[in-house]
Amino acid sequence: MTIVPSSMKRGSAELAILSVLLEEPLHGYEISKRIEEHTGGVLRFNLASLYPMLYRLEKRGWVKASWQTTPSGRRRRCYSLTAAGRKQLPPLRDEWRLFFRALDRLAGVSRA
Amino acid sequence: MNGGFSSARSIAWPVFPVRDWAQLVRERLGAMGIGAEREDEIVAELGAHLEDCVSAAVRNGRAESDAVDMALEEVPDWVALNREIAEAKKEEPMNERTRTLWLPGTTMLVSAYVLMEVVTRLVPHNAWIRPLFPMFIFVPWLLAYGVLGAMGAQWSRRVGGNARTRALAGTFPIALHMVIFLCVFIATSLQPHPRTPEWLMPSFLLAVFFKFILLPGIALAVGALPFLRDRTPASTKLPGTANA
Repeated sequence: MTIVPSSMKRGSAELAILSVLLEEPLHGYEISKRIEEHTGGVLRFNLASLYPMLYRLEKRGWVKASWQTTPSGRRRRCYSLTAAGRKQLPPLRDEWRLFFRALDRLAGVSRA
Repeated sequence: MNGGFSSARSIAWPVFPVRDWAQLVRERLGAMGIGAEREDEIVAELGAHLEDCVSAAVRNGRAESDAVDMALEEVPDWVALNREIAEAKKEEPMNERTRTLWLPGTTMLVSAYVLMEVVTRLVPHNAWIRPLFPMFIFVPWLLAYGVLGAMGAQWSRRVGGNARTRALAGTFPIALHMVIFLCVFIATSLQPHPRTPEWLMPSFLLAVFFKFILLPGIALAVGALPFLRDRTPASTKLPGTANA
């Protein structure tokens, strides 16, 4: 399996996190698992890469967090998308689409 | 501040089973200098994440000691993690409304006040309420308000404000006019007069409202108008890197 370089992962982290939170509120571990599952393991966030990014998104007001108790009685900090975060998704998607189209024109990535 | 690093790094690899993940995170992460309450939250959250990693690995058939090792591999460098979390958390999160409305709106309001002060020094005080308010002052003043409206709305759009917030940020200086108008009106009407003062005549009030509130409000709104629509992305830079 080809692994995407870390610089690209960093750039795509915001989009990945916001996209999975669009589905439903999740806590940190669930976010990392959901991203891993949806990308077939190509994108994977460990604790060290996930939480600083989540805190940055929280600081920008794109996600908000609240403590919740799971059915098993554990307390977990759940993240949900704010209206501002929801609004960031379409332009982020457009940026990435534009970027991949440009890359495709340049290097024929989709034909490779 | 970060004095806990050396001791945190010198802690031996945990002996299985780790029961208190939060305590392990606290020892390895050390102090972050962001306040005890926030640090407690982070420690609890990261501890819970590691606990979930172990539980999932055990459910998938891993031996518990392997599961603990896997969980600890989630953080290759605790010092770097400490630094990154501290950077991300240090600044107080600015409320979305503050960022998209109050900050641009208030800045434009202060700019409008400064502009008004300049105009006031150029024009005699009573000229503001005279029918023949000097047009050579009034028209540029309205044009300047158009620019303020545009700046407020553009600022709000740049930081993620929606159309309504942009419109409010752009037209925010009109609040200054309303407050001045109301204060002067109330103060004047409370003064004892032998006969109905000019200020309380409806036609006069209407004229002042038109020149002092309606026209500047329209100028601000017209200036803000082009910035109420969302921009279409045109950049081909690596997406997501600008704000990271």
